[in-house]
Amino acid sequence: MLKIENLTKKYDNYKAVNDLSLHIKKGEIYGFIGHNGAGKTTTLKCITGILPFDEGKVFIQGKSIFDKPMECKAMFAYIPDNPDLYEYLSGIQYLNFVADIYKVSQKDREERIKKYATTFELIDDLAQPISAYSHGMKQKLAIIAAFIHEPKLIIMDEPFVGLDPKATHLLKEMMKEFCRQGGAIFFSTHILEVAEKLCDRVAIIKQGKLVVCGSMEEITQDESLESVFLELEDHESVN
Amino acid sequence: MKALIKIKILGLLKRTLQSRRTKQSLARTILIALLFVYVIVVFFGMFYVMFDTIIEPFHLLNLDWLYFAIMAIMVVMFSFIGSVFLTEHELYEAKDNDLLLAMPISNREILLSRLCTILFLDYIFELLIVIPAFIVYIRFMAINILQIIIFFIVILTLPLMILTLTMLMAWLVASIMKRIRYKNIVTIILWLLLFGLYMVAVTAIEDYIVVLIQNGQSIAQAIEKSLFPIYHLSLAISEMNILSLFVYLLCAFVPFALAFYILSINFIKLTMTKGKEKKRVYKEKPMKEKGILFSLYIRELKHFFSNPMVVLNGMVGAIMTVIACVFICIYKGDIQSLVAQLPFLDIYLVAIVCIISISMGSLNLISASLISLEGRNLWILKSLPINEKDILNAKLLLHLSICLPGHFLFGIVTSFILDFSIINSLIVIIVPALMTLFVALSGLLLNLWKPRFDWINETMCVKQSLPVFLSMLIAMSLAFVIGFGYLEIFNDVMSMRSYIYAVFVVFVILNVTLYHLLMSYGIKKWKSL
Repeated sequence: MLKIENLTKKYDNYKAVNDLSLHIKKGEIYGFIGHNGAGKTTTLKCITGILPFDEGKVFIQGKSIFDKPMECKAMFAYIPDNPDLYEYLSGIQYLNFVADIYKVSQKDREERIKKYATTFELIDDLAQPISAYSHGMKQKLAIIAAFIHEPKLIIMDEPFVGLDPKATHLLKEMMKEFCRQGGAIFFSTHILEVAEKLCDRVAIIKQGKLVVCGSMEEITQDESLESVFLELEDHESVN
Repeated sequence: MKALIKIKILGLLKRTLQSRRTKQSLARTILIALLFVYVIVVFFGMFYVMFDTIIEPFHLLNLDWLYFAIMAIMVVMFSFIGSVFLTEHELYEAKDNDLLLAMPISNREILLSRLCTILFLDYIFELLIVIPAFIVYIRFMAINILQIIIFFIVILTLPLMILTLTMLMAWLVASIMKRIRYKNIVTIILWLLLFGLYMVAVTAIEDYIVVLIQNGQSIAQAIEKSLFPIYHLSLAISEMNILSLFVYLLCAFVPFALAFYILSINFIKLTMTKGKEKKRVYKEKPMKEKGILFSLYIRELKHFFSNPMVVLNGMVGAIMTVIACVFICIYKGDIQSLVAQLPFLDIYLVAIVCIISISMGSLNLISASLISLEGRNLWILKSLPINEKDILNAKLLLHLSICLPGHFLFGIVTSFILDFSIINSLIVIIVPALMTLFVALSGLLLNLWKPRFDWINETMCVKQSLPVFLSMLIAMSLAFVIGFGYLEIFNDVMSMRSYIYAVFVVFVILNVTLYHLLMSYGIKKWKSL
C-alpha cells in the first residue's frame, strides 16, 4: 500500500530524515515511534506531499507521489499532529469542503457525516464555527474529514493527542475496522502502550534514521515495547 | 513587571518593523525607514503649517492659551482614533491572558504592562503633533524655563487622559462585541466610521484653521466651559499658572487611577467571560455538491470576510469606488454642467474616467496576502488532491469578484452621466478591469515569491508584508505612469483615444504574460512552500 524507499529530507545541511525505507502493507496498522524531533512529522509530511524531499521515492498503491500526486492524494487521508483547521468555517462547512474536493456524492457525504459525527458526539456542534471548538473537537473533526472519502490509506500524526478516553477508544476501534476491511494505517505516536496493543508492525526512528522495524512480536519478543524503545535509545546513545 | 513591559513593547516594535525571524535585508530596512520618514515628514509638515497659521491670530486676540488647547485637542483626537482598537485588542482579546493569569503575576501588573504598550503608542502619536507645535511656539514667542518644564509635564501626562478615554471606549466596544452575532460587520462599520472621521479631519484641516481663526473667541469660551481639563492645561503652559497645572494634573490622574482600579479588580471577569452568543445547534439539511474550483472560491471568500482588518486593508479601492459612484449620482448635475462649461475636457473625459477608476483599483491589494494568509492551514490544501492551478485560480477569482463589480458600476454610472458612446463606455469598463486583473496577478505572484507564514495575527499579512507594499507601489506607479505618460510623452504622438487603445493592448499583453508566469513559476513556487 505504502512504500518508502531511501527517503531523505534535508534542512540546509541537516538531514531531518536520512535514507528511510519502509513498506506498509494492506490491512496493516503500522506504528511509527521516535522521540521528539526524531523526524516522524517530517517523514509523514514528505509522504503526503506537503513537504518536498531531497532523495528517495514514495509509492502509494504503486504510484509515485512525486509523479502522480493527485492520484496518490485521492487514495489517502492525512491527520496532522495539530489540527489547524479553517477556523472561519463551521464544522459542517469544513466537512462539505473536504467532500467537494474528494468529489463525494451528496448521498454518501450525508450518510458518512451523520455516522461519524454521531459516533464522535459532534453532530450537534457541526453548525458552530471551528474557532469555537476545543482541541479535542478539532481533532475529532479532522478524523471525520479523513474518513469522509473512504480512503485506502490513512496517515496519522499523533492521532490520540487531545482526545478524551471515549474518543480514543472509538478511534482505535475505527482503525482496526478500517484495516480489517483492507485499508492500511501508518501513524506516529508517543504512547507506546497504544502502539503495543494496536500495531501489527512498528518502526523506530532516531535522528532521522531507522533504528529498527518489524512485527510487534519480532521487536518486543518477551519484553515490553517501552523497554525495547529505551534500550535502543540507550544503545544508540552509547554508539 | 519590567520584563512584561519590555516584552510587550519589543513585540509591538517587532510587529511593526520586522517581518521575519531571519535577518531582514538592508534594502527592506531602508525601505521601512524611508516609509517612516515619509509619514513623519507629512504629519510634521501638516501640523507645522496649521500651528504656524493659528499662532499669530490667537496672540493678537490675546488667546495664547487657545494655541495649546488646540494642540491638546489634536493630540487627544489623533491618539484616541489611532489607539482605541489596539486598546480593545490588548486588554480584552490578548491571546496570552490565560498564560499570564496562571503565572504569579498580579492582575494589576498584567494590566499595567498592557497599558504601557498603548501608552508607548500614544506618546508616538502625541510627539507627531507636539513637536511641530513646540517649534512654532518657540519661533514666535519668548519662552522661559518654567514654561518649558510645565510643557514637558503636560506632554508626559496628557496620554494618561487619552488612555482613560480609550480604556472606557475599548470596554464599550468589547461589551458590544460580546453580545452581537455579526461582529465582523460591526467592526468594519466602526472602522469605516473612524477612517471617515480621520479622512475628514485630515482633508479639511485648512478649513478648520480658518474657522478656528475666525471664531477664536467663541471657541475659547466653549473650551473654557466644556473642556475644562484642556482649558487648565493650556493656562498652565501659556500663563505658567500653577493652580491650573494642579487642576489639570488632578483631571489626568484621578480618572485614570479610578478607571485603572475598576479594570484591575474586574480584569479576570472582563477578559475571561465569553460572550452570551447562543450556540447554533446543527440541523440536518440536504447537502449540495460543489465543483472543486467553486468550493475553493467559497472558502477563499469566507476566509477573506472573516477578518475585518484584512477586509479593510485589502479592499479600500473597492469601497472607494462604490462611494465614488454614490457621489457621482448625487452631484450628477454639477458634473454635467462642469463638462459643458469646459468643452476642451471632452476629449480627455474617457481617459480621466479610466485613470480615476484605475487609481482607485490600485488600492485593492487582496491577492498580495492570500498565500501568506494560508499560514498554519497550508497543510490542508497541500495534502488534498487539488490541482495547484485551481488553488491559484480560486485566489484570483476572489480578487476579481470583489473588485470588478465596483469598476463596472463606476464605468456604467459615469458612461450614463457623461453620455458616452458605446465604444467609450466599453473602454471605461474594460481598461480598469484589465488593470484589476493585473493587480490581482502581480499581487499573487509577489506573495508566492515572498510568502510570510510566521505571523501571529492575520493583520500582519496585510499590514506588514513586503508583497502587499510592493503590489501597492507597482499598482500606484502604473496608475501614475498611465496618467502622466500621455500628458508628458505621448500627447504629441497620438490622440487620447489611440493612447487608451494602446494602454488596453499593453494590459492584455501584461496580463497574458503574468498569467502564464503564475501557471508556471507560481505553481512551482506553491509546490515548494
